[in-house]
Amino acid sequence: MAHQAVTQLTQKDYKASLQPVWCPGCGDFGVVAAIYQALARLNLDPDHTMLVSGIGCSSRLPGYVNTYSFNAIHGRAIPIATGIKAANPELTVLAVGGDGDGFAIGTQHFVHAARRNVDITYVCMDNSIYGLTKGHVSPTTPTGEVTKTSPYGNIEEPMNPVLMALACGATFIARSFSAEVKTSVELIAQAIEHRGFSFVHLISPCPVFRGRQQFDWVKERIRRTPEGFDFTKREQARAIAFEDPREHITLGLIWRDERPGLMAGQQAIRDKATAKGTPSYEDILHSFIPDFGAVGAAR
Amino acid sequence: MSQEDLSVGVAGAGGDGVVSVGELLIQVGAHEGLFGMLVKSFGPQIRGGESSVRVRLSSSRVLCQGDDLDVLIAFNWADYGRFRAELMPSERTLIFVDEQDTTPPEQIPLPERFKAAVMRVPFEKLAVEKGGSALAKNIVAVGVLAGALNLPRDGFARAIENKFSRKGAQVVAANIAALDAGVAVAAERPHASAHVSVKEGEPRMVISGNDAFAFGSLVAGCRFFAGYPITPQSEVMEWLGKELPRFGGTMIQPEDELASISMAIGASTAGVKALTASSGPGISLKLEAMGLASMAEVPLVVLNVQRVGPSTGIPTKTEQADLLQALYGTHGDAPKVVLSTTDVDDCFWVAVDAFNIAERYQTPVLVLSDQGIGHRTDAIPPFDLSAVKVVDRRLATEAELAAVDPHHGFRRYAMTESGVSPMTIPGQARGNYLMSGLEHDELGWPVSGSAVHQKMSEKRARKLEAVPREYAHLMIAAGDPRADVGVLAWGAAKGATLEAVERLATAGVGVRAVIPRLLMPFPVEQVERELEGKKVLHVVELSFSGQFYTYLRSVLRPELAARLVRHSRAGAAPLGVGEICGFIQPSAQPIAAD
Repeated sequence: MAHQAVTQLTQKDYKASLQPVWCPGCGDFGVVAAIYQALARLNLDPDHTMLVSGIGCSSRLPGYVNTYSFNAIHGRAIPIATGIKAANPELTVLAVGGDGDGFAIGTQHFVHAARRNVDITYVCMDNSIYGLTKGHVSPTTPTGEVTKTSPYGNIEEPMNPVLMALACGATFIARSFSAEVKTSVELIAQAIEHRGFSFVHLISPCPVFRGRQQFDWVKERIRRTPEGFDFTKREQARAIAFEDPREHITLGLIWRDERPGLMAGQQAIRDKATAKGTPSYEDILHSFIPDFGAVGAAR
Repeated sequence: MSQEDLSVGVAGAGGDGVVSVGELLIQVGAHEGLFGMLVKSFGPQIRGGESSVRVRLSSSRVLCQGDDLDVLIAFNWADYGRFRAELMPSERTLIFVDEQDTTPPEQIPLPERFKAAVMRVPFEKLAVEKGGSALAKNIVAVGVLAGALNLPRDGFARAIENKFSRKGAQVVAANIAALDAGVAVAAERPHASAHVSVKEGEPRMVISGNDAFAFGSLVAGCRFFAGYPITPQSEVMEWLGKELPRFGGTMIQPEDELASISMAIGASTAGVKALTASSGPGISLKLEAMGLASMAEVPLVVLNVQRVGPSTGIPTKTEQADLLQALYGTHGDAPKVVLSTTDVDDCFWVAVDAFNIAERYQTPVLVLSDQGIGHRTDAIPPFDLSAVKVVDRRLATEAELAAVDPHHGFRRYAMTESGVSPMTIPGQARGNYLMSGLEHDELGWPVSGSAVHQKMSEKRARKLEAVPREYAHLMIAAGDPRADVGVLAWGAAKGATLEAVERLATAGVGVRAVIPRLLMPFPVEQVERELEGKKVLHVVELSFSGQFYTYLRSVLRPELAARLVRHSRAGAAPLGVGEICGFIQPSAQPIAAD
């Protein structure tokens, strides 16, 4: 169970003193605001909450949140968060980062965290560009886009994070837009409360390297999940996951499933292993000393 | 060589039960109070290929697998031929082969001078006749060994009874009959000149290096392991995968080496002692994260069970060529501790030291073991668990946390005289902070100025200055302290080196051996004190380029460095005692003449 704060905290209580290095107009401001509010809504104890990131503009986020925070190395937010959660399942653990961190150098961890159903929340701030390195093509950059490393236009097909999450077995998949803070708060709070691997695809435009047009492009295409939409129906989730982002970008909870998470599995293993009690170190030592039992007929 | 020492080699096809012969021999030896060593070797087949064992038993501590065999059993010459280099007979070796083998004499893979003395024994025929199945031919072989080596038949009978008891009295009786058939065969043949005296009531433990390291980790308080299968490390994770959950711990097999070390870092960050392990290629993948552990000051133990490299190399064979990677592989100035294991017993104790150092100095500790140690099984005195001392990290106290300025948060990287700062783990109230792979100030906040980078670099390096002093027991020095000749070795080369030193001593040649198990920070003062006044310093290692020699050249003061003589070769076969004696002898002779 998540540890709650003793007194009711507000979003200000989760704001760290460290000042963001993000550029004016960066979508990540909207995301960190949503995270403050989501943590406050759930009244999570900052000392029992941990945010982990890799490297990238958005990976600076944990430093701006007044919890235990870890700004680690490129691509490894998810496995580090997994290790933290496995070591102390009582902690609320969030991994955050960008599209390069999560869907290029760290893709394999996303795939397997979803498959394993690790009880963490992963918020990917997708700006479809490498901002920290100052404007290089990313795995979610649209085809044709000119960047510093796609000077003739991006020839590659962008990755579809929501479709991939669905394919890999994530049990909670949602999408939001950094400018839609209320939606983000709602979805992030639900994601934290979800047992199992929860993924929030958070489109967070980069005004510097993708320009104002990225923001407008997203804004024009966003829509809500349709009336009567059932996020527990695989077919309906699949329809949204297969949407062409050049036409529509649907925000909301897209898919939710219930199956035992990694922590429950690990606990089941411990229960099985200790069914006959825990041995002493001496017991283990003795198991290495040959003992041929009572002498029988062979003598 | 001492009479109280014998060596046996057995080779055969998959299904011949060669490994069982080795296991029975070392277990019975251990049960009878003998020391021993079992080295298994396999062909390249994934399953069911040819295999060989080499067993050494002694009434005193066994240092290495030894050079000469007392008995060699080949179930057939073709399979023996694949292990010829590892199981080469000498003048004193009794050689047995199954009489069913039809290899023409000119094709027998033995030097000509040994061929006439080969004894043909009906292993398989006796197995069928007495043991009721060809499967029992390895038990016939055990009987031949027991007889030829004058080992107590009853000990083997008890072990066989124990081994087969679940299969019923009939199977037990058949196998005892097979054993006795073998003993009877040996009775009519020459016996080995070597002999060992058994010691009742002093049983040894039988354990592999990898199991010993895993056990040591558990006892040191390790409760988290993440690793990716790789030869020759996998036994460590298999053992911990079974045992950790019994102690409330966790083993995870993640998607790759990067995730493995990252999960271990995460677990340690959350306050649980964590281990990850791999072999050369996997360690290459872990190095970036080791830099993170150094920078963020996360206690972490990483085990490298070295194998022949580079690249895939020879995964099932040993080498000592990951030393420079261990010392310098991480980018940036990333202080860490590098330890080495020198034998199976060491695997347990060095694991304990590794966790203690990691916790005490909040640092990554890389331990170098190797295939030769990890995969070998020793019969040794049981570990004295009462001698284990466990050290835990220095956590901030409640009083210290009460004084934290909530506006800025906990000063995780506070400057201290020792360089070690109190740390917190998630769940400690008012203890939250930002840990970071970015250069940071005392709060963990990112900085990019030169002055802070200099100060923090000093802090991280300063922490480890005390390690050589505090862990002085990691230095091994043996042989004649007044000798003019020194030999330096590390890791698995210890065994053959110490035995070479003993052999030379009996020949009147004095040599001092110096074997540091702490490789970084290097115990310069301790080592130099030992080397003072030596005229020549032989460096013995299993690395083609002489990595240890290269390292010693850089850490020892120039006049000592100038006396270093390199004796290094590529791995796959371990260093032999005679080989090392040959390295040392020429320069040692003048002293012998004195």
